[in-house]
Amino acid sequence: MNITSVENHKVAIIAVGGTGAAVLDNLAVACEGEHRTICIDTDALALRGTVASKKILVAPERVHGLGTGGEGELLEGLSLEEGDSLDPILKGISTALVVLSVSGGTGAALSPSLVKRLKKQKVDVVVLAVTPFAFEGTRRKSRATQCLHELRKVADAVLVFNNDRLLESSMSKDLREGQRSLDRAIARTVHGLAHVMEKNGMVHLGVSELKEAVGSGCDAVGILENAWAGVADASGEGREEAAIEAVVEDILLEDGRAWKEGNRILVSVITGPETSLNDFHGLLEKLRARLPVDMPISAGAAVDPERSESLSLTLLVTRRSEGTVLEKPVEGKEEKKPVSVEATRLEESKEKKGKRFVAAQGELEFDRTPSRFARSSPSVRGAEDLDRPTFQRKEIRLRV
Amino acid sequence: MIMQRTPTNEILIAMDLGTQKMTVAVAEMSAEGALTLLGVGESASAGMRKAEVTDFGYAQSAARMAMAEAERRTQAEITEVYLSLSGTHLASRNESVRGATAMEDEHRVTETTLEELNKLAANLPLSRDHVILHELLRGYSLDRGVSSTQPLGVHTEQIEAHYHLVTGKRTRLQTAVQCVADQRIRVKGCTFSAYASGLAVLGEEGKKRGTVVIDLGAGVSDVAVWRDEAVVHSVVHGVGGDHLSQDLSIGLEIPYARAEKLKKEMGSVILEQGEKDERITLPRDISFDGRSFYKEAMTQILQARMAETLQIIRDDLEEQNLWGAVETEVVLTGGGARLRGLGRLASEIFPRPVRIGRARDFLGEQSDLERPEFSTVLGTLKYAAETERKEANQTQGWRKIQKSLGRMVSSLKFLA
Repeated sequence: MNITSVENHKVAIIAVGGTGAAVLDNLAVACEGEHRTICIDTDALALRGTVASKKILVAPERVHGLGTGGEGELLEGLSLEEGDSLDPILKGISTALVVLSVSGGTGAALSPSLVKRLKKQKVDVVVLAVTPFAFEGTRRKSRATQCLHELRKVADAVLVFNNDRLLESSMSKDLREGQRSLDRAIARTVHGLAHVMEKNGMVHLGVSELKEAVGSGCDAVGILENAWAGVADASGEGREEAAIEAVVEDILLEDGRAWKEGNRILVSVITGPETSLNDFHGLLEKLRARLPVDMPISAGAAVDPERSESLSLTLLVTRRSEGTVLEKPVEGKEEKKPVSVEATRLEESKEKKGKRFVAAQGELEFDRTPSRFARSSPSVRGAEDLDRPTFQRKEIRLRV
Repeated sequence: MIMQRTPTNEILIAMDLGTQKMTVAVAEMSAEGALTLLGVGESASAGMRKAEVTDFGYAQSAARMAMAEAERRTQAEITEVYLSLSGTHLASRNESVRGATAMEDEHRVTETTLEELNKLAANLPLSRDHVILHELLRGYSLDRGVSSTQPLGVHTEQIEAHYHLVTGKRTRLQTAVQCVADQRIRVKGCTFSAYASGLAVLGEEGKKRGTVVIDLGAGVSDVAVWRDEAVVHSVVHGVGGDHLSQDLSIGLEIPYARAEKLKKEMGSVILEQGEKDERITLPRDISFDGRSFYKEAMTQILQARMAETLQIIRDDLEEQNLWGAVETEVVLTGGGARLRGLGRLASEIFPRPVRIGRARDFLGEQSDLERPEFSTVLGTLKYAAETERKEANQTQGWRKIQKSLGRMVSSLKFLA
């Protein structure tokens, strides 16, 4: 990947936490083309393994680079709304596609403050959020609702993909593969959107269309799930029909819920230079005819000069419901303690409650050579990778 | 001859699953609680990084060899051990739990009151995948005022117990324990390396007044701050002697094994006068072309890493507002403490008296006490002795209860 050239891209894909990082990895594996990718995580080992062009380790002062393990409480009171280290990395971005899981870990804890920061910098923000499985319990669901509530207040559009979709598909017997499919679908959706937005394609599709598709800000959808994606690639003769067939039959759309509950369709097409505007319109007509329901379609197309006789199609079914009252976050029930015996934390920790602190943040520049410590938990302090030799990091000239 | 437990002598066995070596120490405890060190068995470690198991099979073999060596040296039969554990997944925090004494006991603190408090501490909420390794008692407050370490029998309405909790990731602790348990060795108890090292090298005075014990191991650096005979802060930093060897290997462009040997034999963090232009030549062998470099380069590399590590420790103490509480001294122990000039470098970073810790209060084999790398395993023996004593007291207490119950039953029969 040519890091210098992608740094000039106006559209950035920002992954927050482990789910975001997994989507970035799928983006690298399953999608052609380069994107400006930034991965923000509390887990240094996971960051080390991702393919993002910029890797930002946050809150090492709290979790020492070990991640949260899904326990967002570990990051309680921390915010990414300020802090100098992110500034140069976020500079020049006009549209951010923020990918995360809202089920409780790093993504849920830090993404609302990150989105606020991006909005302060006048960046258009589209959030692609994955919700927890129902079987993960009410605590996670309540955390997801809380996070989505905050995100919808600040982001331009919030697309919510529900993990439970996997349980209702033929993937339910192999959840790991199902999870990969969902990550891949989100990666392809992000890829399609970023490509069309960045290239300002043949037919434009932008944040305003996405906003229109899901509603905006607080007035938007109160229910959790509002996005369903299908993706397909095809090449050679008959590629249009093949891609349409594959996208409509996509595993993530197979339970039919998208057609029942969705009310808008966004289509993003990446094709080779041989495709004309007429071809594109023809493709949309064929797609409309094949869809099981009739819905308004917004579409964008970009031309990739390196493609020849191949087509990449992303279908995003969204649900817009105006004026839905936002579901109030479920407060955790407090356990009643006996009067005579109670557990109390130190006074210091009581004082800390309610205050917001800027989470430490810094770009990680890991040694690219295999290290003696490659298989162990990384040792990180601040944003420094202590597994790299001190003399190298401090730039000490050795008298060899 | 295989040594077995008898009613009068108790054989205690401690084991440290280290990153560079695994050590097994065997001691005999007299009825009065005095420990006589019988010997320490050691073997080169494998399958370990940063004090955690990364390759189960290798780690198991290394542990087996260390136990066999200890059995050979001491003639003791190893069937159960106390383990010391470390790793960066360990976390610590101070917690307090509060309770009330019962009116029917005339508001006196009873053993039941203390047990209840201990149960509360053991059930404090933790992160999902963490378990408590230690709840180390720091003391009690009575009626939110008077402090006490022995409140039994005292009249008070409220009592607050203060603990230093050490927690760790369940799976990583299980893996370490399994490494030994799979060999049909019963793991009787586990302790935290930082705590064990303090037990080994500190006397009563050191534990009372603020003292920092820094165990510079191969994989990690364990730190514990002691005050009022208790641990008030502990932390594991994921930097150790392995990092020194790696830095030498990369900086001097020599194989890792050569770097390790160089560090042990000639490693120094201070360049003495007259050494500036001194060169070190590593001879060639079948897999190595040989290498020559200035001694200053080696010192630069080691000094940079050690100064950084000690500074991280100092910064952490300041962040915890504990540096001011360190009244007496800084004690360096673990294999890293053998590095030449370390005391001098540490004195610059910690403006307090600095000494290299040696294990104390053991009878028997004294030469092993001089080796700072044995502090953890020897401290684990002390922890084992402490635990065994407590258990014995509890058993005695239970026997007393049984006797009194017996008496009560006979008197009831008599009345009937």
